[in-house]
Amino acid sequence: MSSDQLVAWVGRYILPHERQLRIWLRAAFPTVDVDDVVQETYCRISRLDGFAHIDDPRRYFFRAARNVVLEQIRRERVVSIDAASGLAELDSAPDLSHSPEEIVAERHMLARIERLIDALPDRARQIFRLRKIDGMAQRDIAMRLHIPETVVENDVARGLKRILDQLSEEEKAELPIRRRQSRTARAIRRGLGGGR
Amino acid sequence: MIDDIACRWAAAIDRGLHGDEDARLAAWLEEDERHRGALLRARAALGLLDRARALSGLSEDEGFEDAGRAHRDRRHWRRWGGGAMAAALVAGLSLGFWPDRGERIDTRIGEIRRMPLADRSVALVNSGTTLRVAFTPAERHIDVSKGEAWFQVAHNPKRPFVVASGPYRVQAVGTAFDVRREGEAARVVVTKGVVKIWSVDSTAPPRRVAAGEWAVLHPGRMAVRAMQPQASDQQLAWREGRIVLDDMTLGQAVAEFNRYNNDQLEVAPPLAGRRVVGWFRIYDVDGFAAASAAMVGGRVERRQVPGKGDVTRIIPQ
Repeated sequence: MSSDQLVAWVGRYILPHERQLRIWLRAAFPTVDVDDVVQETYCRISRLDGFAHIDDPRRYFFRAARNVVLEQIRRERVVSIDAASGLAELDSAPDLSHSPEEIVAERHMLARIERLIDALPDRARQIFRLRKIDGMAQRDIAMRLHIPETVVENDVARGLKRILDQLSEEEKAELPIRRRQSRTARAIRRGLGGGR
Repeated sequence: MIDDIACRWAAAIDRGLHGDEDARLAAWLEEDERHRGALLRARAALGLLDRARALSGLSEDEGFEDAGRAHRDRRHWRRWGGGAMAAALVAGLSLGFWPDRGERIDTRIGEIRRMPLADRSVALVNSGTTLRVAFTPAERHIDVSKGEAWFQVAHNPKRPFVVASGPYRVQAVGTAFDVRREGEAARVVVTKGVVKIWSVDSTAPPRRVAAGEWAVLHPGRMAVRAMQPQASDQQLAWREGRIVLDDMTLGQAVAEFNRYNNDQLEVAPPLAGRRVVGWFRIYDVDGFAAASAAMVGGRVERRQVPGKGDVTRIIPQ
């Protein structure tokens, strides 16, 4: 499997659930370092030999993160009550493969990225637009905008960083204020009620 | 920081690596395992950026409000559950009375009662326990014939405080300790001070057991061991309505839960020996079942058993 395929798979099926994962982690395991767990989870995914066997990427993603937490718990030997209940919730999560929720999660993610791009500084926003809408390579964008290629590359890197940061920051900002239900949690509750 | 560099590499890969960049990228990836994950995430996000416009169009909030309500309700309910338990403990405290001589206390399954005693000692009586208080001017005598209780003993050297559990006797002066009856055996955990332990069935002299130690009593023998730091808090977590599983087998953990709950848990034999960890609320059987099933790679099955009510089983996947 080429790494490009993995990148595309992660972009399409894993990343859209990162926000929900973070919300879940923060709610279920208040004592863990969410950034750390997410990072470690991606690290594990990067070691995957293939993904054809994963038919529910969201569930896989949550489980992988859960395992990271579990290992931390085992190492530290001290778990909060909430940590334990978090383990419970995940296991009750129903399969969501190919469900409307899966598709909505991705669209939702794309809509958010769209807004984040809109919020970038002018030049960076223009660069991302050209990349995206016109499918232009960095070199062509540089020529079109009459700027050095390194500037384009820098803006891509910085814009990307900013968007990634906001993807994880949004959920931090959101939790204490609105505590809005994530789709995940709802599905999980439903699963609990169903007594799987 | 890692993310900064990962994003720069993602941008570089996007324009095409050249020169010695391949080698430098490989070196960076070798440096720290986490770099691979960070790069994967950054590249995946960059890929998504390209698709954002094409596929977006759904309003962010669609379909979210109902879900929010359901979630809040559930949370509320959960908080209520916890509150109800706290209230039960507090009620136990305020309803606690000073038993007269010969007073007998039976706690139901799931009931934990805090009882101030006439001498200003305190007994915290665990679920499913039968305990008799018999205070005389010469001795403060308490009999734990079944179950478990923790005692915080008011200091009075002239009037020994003796807990009997079967043939075993635990005497304290000013101290705190826990006595738990387990079939023919008993377990004593000393949390403060020193106790003397002996058995009326044996001629062996009493043994002193100090805070930080615990004793396991069987007919004819007694073993005293040092507690691991924090272990006494864990073993006595029931006083706060919690169960702490510290690398216990699932079978043992299930037995612990069954002490507190009428809805009984069972575990399939192949899973009974697996280890579990975690802190749980005593009454959260469902939470425990689901979490422990997840830990051992099993699943939860519920069914009605005539005569037994709802039985929850943890079974292999």
